[in-house]
This record gives sequence, C-alpha cells and structure tokens, in this order.
Amino acid sequence: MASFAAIVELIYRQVENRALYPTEEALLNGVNPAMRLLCLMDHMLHTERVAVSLAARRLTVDLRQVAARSHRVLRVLLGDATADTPALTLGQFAPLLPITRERLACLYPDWLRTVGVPSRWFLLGRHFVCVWPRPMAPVTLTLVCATVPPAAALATLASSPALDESQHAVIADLATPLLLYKEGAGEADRAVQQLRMRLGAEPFTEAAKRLRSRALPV
Amino acid sequence: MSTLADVVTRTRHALQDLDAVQAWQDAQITAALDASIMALARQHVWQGLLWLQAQANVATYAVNAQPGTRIVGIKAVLYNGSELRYASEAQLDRLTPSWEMQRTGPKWWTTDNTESPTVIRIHPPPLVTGSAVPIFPADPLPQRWQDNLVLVVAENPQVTIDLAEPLTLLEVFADPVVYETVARLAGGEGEFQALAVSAVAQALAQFFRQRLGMSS
Repeated sequence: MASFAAIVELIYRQVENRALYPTEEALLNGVNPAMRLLCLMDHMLHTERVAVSLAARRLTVDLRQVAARSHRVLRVLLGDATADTPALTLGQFAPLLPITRERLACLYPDWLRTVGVPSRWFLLGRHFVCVWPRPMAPVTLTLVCATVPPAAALATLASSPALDESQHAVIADLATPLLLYKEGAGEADRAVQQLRMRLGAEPFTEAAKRLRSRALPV
Repeated sequence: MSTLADVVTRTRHALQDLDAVQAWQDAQITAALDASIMALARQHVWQGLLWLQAQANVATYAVNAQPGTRIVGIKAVLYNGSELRYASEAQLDRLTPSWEMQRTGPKWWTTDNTESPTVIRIHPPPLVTGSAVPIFPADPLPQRWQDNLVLVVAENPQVTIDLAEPLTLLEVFADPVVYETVARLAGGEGEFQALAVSAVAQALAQFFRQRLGMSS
C-alpha cells in the first residue's frame, strides 16, 4: 500500500521543479481533488453504508450531517444493514423505492400529510434525503452512498488513501496536471493535454483551443 | 468539515498568492467564492423546506425575507399539507377573470408580477391565520403544517460568508467552487491576470460539475 507521502513522491517525479509545489499544496490541490475526481468517475470505487435514526413524523435526513463525503445516494433501506446481519425496524427490513418529489406530488398531492411505514425515498436537492410516508414511529434507515475518501493532510502523510492500491498510481497521474496548470502558458497547456488524455476530451478540448489561440502572435 | 479559510488557502495556492504582499485580499477571494457558490445555487442544486405562517386574507408572501436563509427560487408550495398547483396569471385570468376577488381558500400559487421570483402569491388567499410556532428551516415538518405554508425552496446554503465559518456544502462541492473561483480571479482584468490559468480552472470546474450531474 502506497502512503500519501509515496504518492506525493510520485507526483514530484513528474514535475520539473518540486520546490514550486510544497507538500501541503500537493495534498490540498493535487492528491485530494484527484481522489475525488476518481470517485466521481467511478461511483463504486468508494461507498459507505450509514445507519441513521429518523424521529417519528420527521421527513428529512441531512446528508451533510450523516455522510458529508457522499456525492450520490445509491440505496435507502428500512432497517440497519450496516452489519452482516440486518436489524429490523418497525418489525420490517426492506429497501425503499426511489421516486422524485414531483412524481410523488402527482400521485399523492397531500403526500406531506401521510404518516405510516416508509416505502419510498426521494432527494430534496443534493443535501436532503426524504422518506415517504413520514414514519409513524422512530425508525432506523440505512443509506448506501457513493462517497469520496477522507482527505489527506500533513498530519496523515504516513497513512494510505482509503482507495484500492490499484488506484494509487492513478491518483498521482491525475494530481500532477491539477498542480501543474497554475504555472500558466506552457505548463497549463501540458496540464490540459494530460487531463484530456486521462479524463477524456470534454471539456478540455475547448480549453486547449483557447490556450492555443492565445499563443498565436498578435 | 472545512472552513471557508481552508477554501481560501486552496484558492491562494492555485493562484500562487501566498507571499506576504498578496495580490488578492481575503475579501476579494471570499466575494468570488460567494459568487461561485451562488452560481451553483441558481441551478437549484440545493433545496430545502421552509415553514411560513399563513395569514388570513394575505395573498403575497416574501419568501426571500426569511431570516437565516438565502432563497433563490421556489419549487413547490404546500398549504394545509397539500401541494398547491402552479399557475401563471394569464392562466388564472382565463380561468376566472376576476380571480383576485375569490375567497375560497388556497388552490394555486404564482410568482407572476410579484416583486421577485422569491415572492409568491397564493390564490385564493388563506381564510384563517395558521398557528405561530418556531421556525426550523432545515426540517419544519414537526411544526404545525395545518393552516400554514410549507415551501420547497431552492437555496444557497452558505448563508454567512466569513473565514471562520464552515463550508456548509457536501465536501465534493468544494472542488467546482474552488476552480470556479480561481477562474474568476485569474481571468479578471488587471496586473495579475492569468488567462491560461483561468481557462484550465474553468474547464476543471465544468468537468466537476458534469460529473456531479449538473448542467455545465
């Protein structure tokens, strides 16, 4: 397992002047966004199961409080499924079905009034998970979320990323252009080429065109 | 949860602005951060619930005037626990020419010809005043929805822009916000303009937004 320090060392091998990128910056603007980018590209790279309690008649779970590193809710279950043996809640253990608030309002305009055993879940923006009907008694829900790994810091330099070891070299490859571009002109162009190669054409093709157009003599 | 000061430090690293004499003041960076967060909020990325006390015979409610909130749009309005239907004033005119005179209790809501898109008109206005209870914007439903209004609103969750304040967004939103801020500052006219840096930061912000399922 490569530590964060080893990944930073891999980055330093890809840049010409390592003095321009202090370790703190290599972590803050290199390794951390690179890990997040990787997880956004593949939702299954890092997932979490979180058990949350919802009081009676409450509607919402605030993801910022229970899963601050989540970026996508994959499943919601009635009951606690964080251990190998699930625990029932209200005598039941069942997955809730996803729905949108708009569709729920079409089917049941008075959806807010309904109280019972939750059977559906929907998102309110990107911060709130809601269940319908509102629970008649306190319930335990399990949220299965696609998340990003804990960010690296100078204090955790010796620890390893919470991503599979096979991804560690990719983190360094992605982090390098994320650091390089700040130099402007030539380095920015190099960063865009690397990002295009590693992440795909969009939207870096447009950035490459803009950089090239500015390089033309006036 | 990181603070706005942490986000400003990240931005300064990307702008190579960590010398004793700084090119951008903290206030300039926080203002650009605020603009970047607001740009995402305008896409209705973040939503919430808001409780409002209904007043008898009052049709117009200024949702954006609620303390502790930065509302950017209204998604739905519920009265007495049921969703009201949205209608434009033209539709209401066609339905009942003198609709402003009606007093039968709320059925519709509109933002047409109000002061702003965050001021709503309930039609017909409520017949009774709902009970006044404390407001908890994040989760108002344990409060009485009977004879009151509950709104689904699009909001900017970063109510306070202060370096000591936490960034009140999910961690993944920090990246598009930082890149957008770097693009704004580096792209601005002036001595420290860096168009290449701005172009790449803009592309990175766009890429993060796309991966987060937002329109670019």
